Amino acid sequence: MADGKETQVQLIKRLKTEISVHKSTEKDLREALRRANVAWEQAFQFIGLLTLDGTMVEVNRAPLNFAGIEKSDIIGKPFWGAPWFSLSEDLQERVRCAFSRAINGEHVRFEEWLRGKRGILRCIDVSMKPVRDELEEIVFVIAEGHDITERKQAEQGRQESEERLQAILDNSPAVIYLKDPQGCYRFINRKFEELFHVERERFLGKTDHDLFEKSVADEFSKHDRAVIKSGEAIQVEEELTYDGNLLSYLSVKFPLHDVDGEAYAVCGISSDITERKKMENAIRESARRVRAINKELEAFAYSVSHDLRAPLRSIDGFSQILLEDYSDVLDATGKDFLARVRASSQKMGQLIDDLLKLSQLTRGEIVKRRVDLSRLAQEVVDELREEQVKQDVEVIIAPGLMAQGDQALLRVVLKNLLGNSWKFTGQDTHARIEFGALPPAEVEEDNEASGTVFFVRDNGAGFDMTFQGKLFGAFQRLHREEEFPGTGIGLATVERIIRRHGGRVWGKGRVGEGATFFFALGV
Amino acid sequence: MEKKLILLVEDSPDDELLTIRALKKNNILNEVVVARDGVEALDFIFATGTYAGRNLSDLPQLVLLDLKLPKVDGLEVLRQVREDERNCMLPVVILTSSKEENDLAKSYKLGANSYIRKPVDFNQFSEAIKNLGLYWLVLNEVPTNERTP
Repeated sequence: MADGKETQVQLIKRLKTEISVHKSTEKDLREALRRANVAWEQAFQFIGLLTLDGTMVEVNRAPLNFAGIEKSDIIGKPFWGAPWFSLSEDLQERVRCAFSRAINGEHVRFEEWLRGKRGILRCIDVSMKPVRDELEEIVFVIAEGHDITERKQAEQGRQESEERLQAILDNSPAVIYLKDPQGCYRFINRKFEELFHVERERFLGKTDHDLFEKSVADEFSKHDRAVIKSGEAIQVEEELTYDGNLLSYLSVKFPLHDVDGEAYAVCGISSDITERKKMENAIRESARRVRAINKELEAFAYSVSHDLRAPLRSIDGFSQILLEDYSDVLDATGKDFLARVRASSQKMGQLIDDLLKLSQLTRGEIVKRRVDLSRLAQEVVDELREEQVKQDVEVIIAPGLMAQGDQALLRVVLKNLLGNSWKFTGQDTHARIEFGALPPAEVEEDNEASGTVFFVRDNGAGFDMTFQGKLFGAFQRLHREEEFPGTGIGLATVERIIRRHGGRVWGKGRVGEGATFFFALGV
Repeated sequence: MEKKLILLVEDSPDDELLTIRALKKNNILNEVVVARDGVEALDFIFATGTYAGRNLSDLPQLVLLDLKLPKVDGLEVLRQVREDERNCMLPVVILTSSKEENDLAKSYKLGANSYIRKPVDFNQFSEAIKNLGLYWLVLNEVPTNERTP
């Protein structure tokens, strides 16, 4: 190095310089080391240095703070024995395995929930990376940990909410789907899959034209376009034939907007209304049939009223003419027979009239409103007193009985029931007729649903309960004509009116001990 | 004053006989012309067809009109009669078997003067004929010479 020409002074000078350079280098080095140390210690990440047998030789503050321990607690000990891995032996085993992969040259990454001080759990993204020297020999493993708990929780929350939504959509009885503005399916729910036998994964991206016949698909697309164009929800009935069945849907379709307010999809919720439609059609059909039957009935009644009565007039009229013009050639028996012919034809005329009245009752509309039954009963009794003068009748009418029904028809009910009582009472005794309502406590259970139970009670002839099945049949009579005249249409009329009100009527009685007729008008 | 005639529109021969008998029995002695279907009735009133040439001003004093008639029914006869201004004074009494609300309403709407349902009992029928004869032929007043042909 010295060529001998260098002076001592020069040498000293050079040495000084060199020392000074060295000094400043040392200073620089110290500074660099200090910085590295700060970075190491203060790093947000968990960082540790492991030897090839897994012993922890260095560790920064972050994991120590997390676990609430000091460096001396873990330095020189196996990495997997650290307190944050103490959650389970399985976890420790997984860490040990990861470490052996790392010393074999692999950069291992995994996520684990680790335990910190006071039992706090954080999700840590762990990295174990082999460190090589200049000869490419693995000399250390650097272990790092990054706290990703927040991200993980947000991710989980998102996943849960997505799963929740999916579960709701999949368990909905409605068909739910999402299509982009081009008509490609972006989402379908399970109902959609089941109904049209498609698999979600394979079906997405397809259009209605891939699934339905053209006319149906065109119709659907038209509705979707209307939604995109207007930007507003619509409600439409959609029909399609699938698997040979006609299906009807009530579809609500609405646009989904992105942040710029552009519609990026149409969402549809289609509810199956096939059954409802069928029912509606069935109802319409039966209403039509009822109308037709009614019309036929009307025609029948008209014909009965015209054509059946005409011959009766002839029978009666000519019998009368015989009696008038040929009385000198008829003996008493002959005249009696003709009188019977006339009586019969008149009776039949009466029967026809009653039958027609009954049929008219079933045809007209029922107009329900609040009816004062007590007042109605009083009016009927007043009429009866005028029409059929009768001595010694006591009539008791409970005041303020109100009902919901057709006033004209309820008058017919009361006229028939009170009229019957009027007819069947007081042959030899004091007649007593009562109109009232049963207190709720006395109403039998099976009648509770029918509402207030009204009754007409008398102390008249009564009837044999054996024949109660015949009480309400048309032309059924429980008394002989000579005892009590009548055609047997009154109670049939009552029954029909009550039935048309949705209520029910029944009678109780005993021969010679009076009768009670109960009725309820339904609620 | 000459007794004016009654037009009885009735297709049943029995009813015709019974009605005429009831009229006679009650001393209603007007001439009775019987039309056996709706066409005949219109022909008589408007002096057409078989009654062409009849003096139109010779209006019946009363028309007894059945509703159920062959060819043209009673309601249609009534409608055509009332359509002609000249017949506004002509009393038309519906005499029929039907007591249908519908028929009643339609008859009055078309301008029937009365609606009587033939009772089965001949005595009642006779009573009804007596009353309507008394009312329409005796009590009821109409302006004279109202109709000019």
